[in-house]
Amino acid sequence: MNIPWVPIVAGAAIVILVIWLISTYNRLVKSRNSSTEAVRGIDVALESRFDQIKAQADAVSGIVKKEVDMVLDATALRTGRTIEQLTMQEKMQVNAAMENAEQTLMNAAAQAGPGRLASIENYPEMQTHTNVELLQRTINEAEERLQAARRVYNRSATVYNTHRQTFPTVLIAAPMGFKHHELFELTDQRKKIGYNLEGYLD
Amino acid sequence: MHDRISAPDFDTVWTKIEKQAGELSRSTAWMGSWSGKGLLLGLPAVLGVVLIFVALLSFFLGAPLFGLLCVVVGLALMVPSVMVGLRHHKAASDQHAQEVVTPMIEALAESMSATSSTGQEAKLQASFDPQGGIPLGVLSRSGFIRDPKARQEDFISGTFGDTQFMLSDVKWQSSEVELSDESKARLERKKQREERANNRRLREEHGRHWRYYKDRQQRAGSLLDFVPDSVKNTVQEKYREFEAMTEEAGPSMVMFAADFHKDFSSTTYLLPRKTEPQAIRNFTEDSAAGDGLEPMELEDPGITKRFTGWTSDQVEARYLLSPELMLAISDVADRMGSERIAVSFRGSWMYFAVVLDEDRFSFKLDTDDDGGFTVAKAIYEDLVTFLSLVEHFNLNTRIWSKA
Repeated sequence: MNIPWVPIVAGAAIVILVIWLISTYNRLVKSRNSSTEAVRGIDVALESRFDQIKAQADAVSGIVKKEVDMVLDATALRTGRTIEQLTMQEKMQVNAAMENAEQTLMNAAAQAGPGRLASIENYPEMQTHTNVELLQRTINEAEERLQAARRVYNRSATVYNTHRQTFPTVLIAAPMGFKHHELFELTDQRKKIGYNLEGYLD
Repeated sequence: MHDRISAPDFDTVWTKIEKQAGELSRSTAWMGSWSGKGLLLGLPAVLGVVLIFVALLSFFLGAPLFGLLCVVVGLALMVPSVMVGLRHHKAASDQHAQEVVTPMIEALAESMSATSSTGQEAKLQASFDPQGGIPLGVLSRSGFIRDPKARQEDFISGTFGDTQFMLSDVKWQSSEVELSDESKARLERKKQREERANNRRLREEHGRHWRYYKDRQQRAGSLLDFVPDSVKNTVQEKYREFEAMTEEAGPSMVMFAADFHKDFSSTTYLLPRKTEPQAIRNFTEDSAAGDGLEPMELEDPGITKRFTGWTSDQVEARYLLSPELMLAISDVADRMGSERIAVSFRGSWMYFAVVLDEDRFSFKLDTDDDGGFTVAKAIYEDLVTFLSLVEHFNLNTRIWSKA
């Protein structure tokens, strides 16, 4: 009997290829979803940090509040988009701006000396129990929460990126729309962003 | 010792305990020698062991009666001398805890201090109970202890700076491992299989009267039925006493529990890759999922090579396990020289346990013949190491929202 080997082999190869495509696609989707989900952790941490800074800034009068508002307004948030809608690069810039804003608040609060009550001129609405230590605790907490979310995201993003860059997945990842996920780095953005303080510090 | 911790030098502490340690060393010297009382207790024990060995040989060579005689005589020689030896050891151990370890802890409580990374001074306040243990509820809350009812000793509790802590020696070899449902079902299947094999054998040997022989087999008593209850009770009581004394001298799992410096609501475990099923629980993905946990892969290779991580909240787990804390845990694990270390974070406390192959914080025979100096120094160094964990894990640095 003459067995039609060519169509059988070709058919088997197509079936194997389809199975590989489906499983690779599913695996990529799974790791992309995991990475995208981890970004939400960063968003939550950034939002919480932003709210805390705003609350602190609202308790501050005059020049310090002005400076904090200016630092935050110089970021992509001025476009009216929420943190969730920003790109990873913009989120990093927002984070760096928040660090600056916190530093400004701390400097103002510490004017009365480390560990002592904040200057009444700068913090007229602060009660006696609200002091530098409390502010520092809030800042530390926000930083630690953010570093935790950042580590989870960076790990998920690295797993996803490695996956999409590995041969032979790399052949189909880009055509199927699986884009590279940028890591959330803690580079010193303050050096890169030149805030124009003119007019605010008069 | 951590560079931020200051503890009195052992030589200073030794001057306070030298007399008691020396007296104890002299009064127990006979336990490690083959003369006088040591020979009187050691010789029957050795003879007993030899006779038990001969008995086993006799059973193997087909002389069961002689073997039985050897067992009886061997036990009669061995048991009393072992019991007397253990009792003396226990008395010496109790005396050592009271007269040597307690003053050491008092000396530490008097002058041990640490300067936290924020520059605050932390003082140690601790009490020692040689027979005590971490409360069952606290031990159970660690979540990884196989048997929280296991015997404990050498309980130290108190505060170091702002941090409340507890420390005890859990005798893990006396842990009763609770069987999983799967294991119970497996044992039940094995029992049924053995019963079926027994029925088959009886059927083959006795034909259709096999049920009669099976009843006889089930009704058959043992030689123990002829032993009076009073004798049986005494033997059981002595055995329990023997068991308790051997457990006390068994290897330690040092358990350290402390109030963690950050608020959290999740559950996180770091369990050893080198498992010790009798001391520490381990998870499979299925069993962990049942407890709402998922695997956690941390970034520190020092941690991942040693531990498998499980958590109910990936982000909060990283909030707790900061890079600094991971380094501190790796560093402590290296220094403890044990691969069997477990860490957990539950109910706002941190739990740390290290499984060891020897008994810690306890009396040992003075084999160095130096008046107990080496034994006391080893215990003192252990105490400083474990009490330093509060500072080593930076638990006094309270710069987060938890005050």
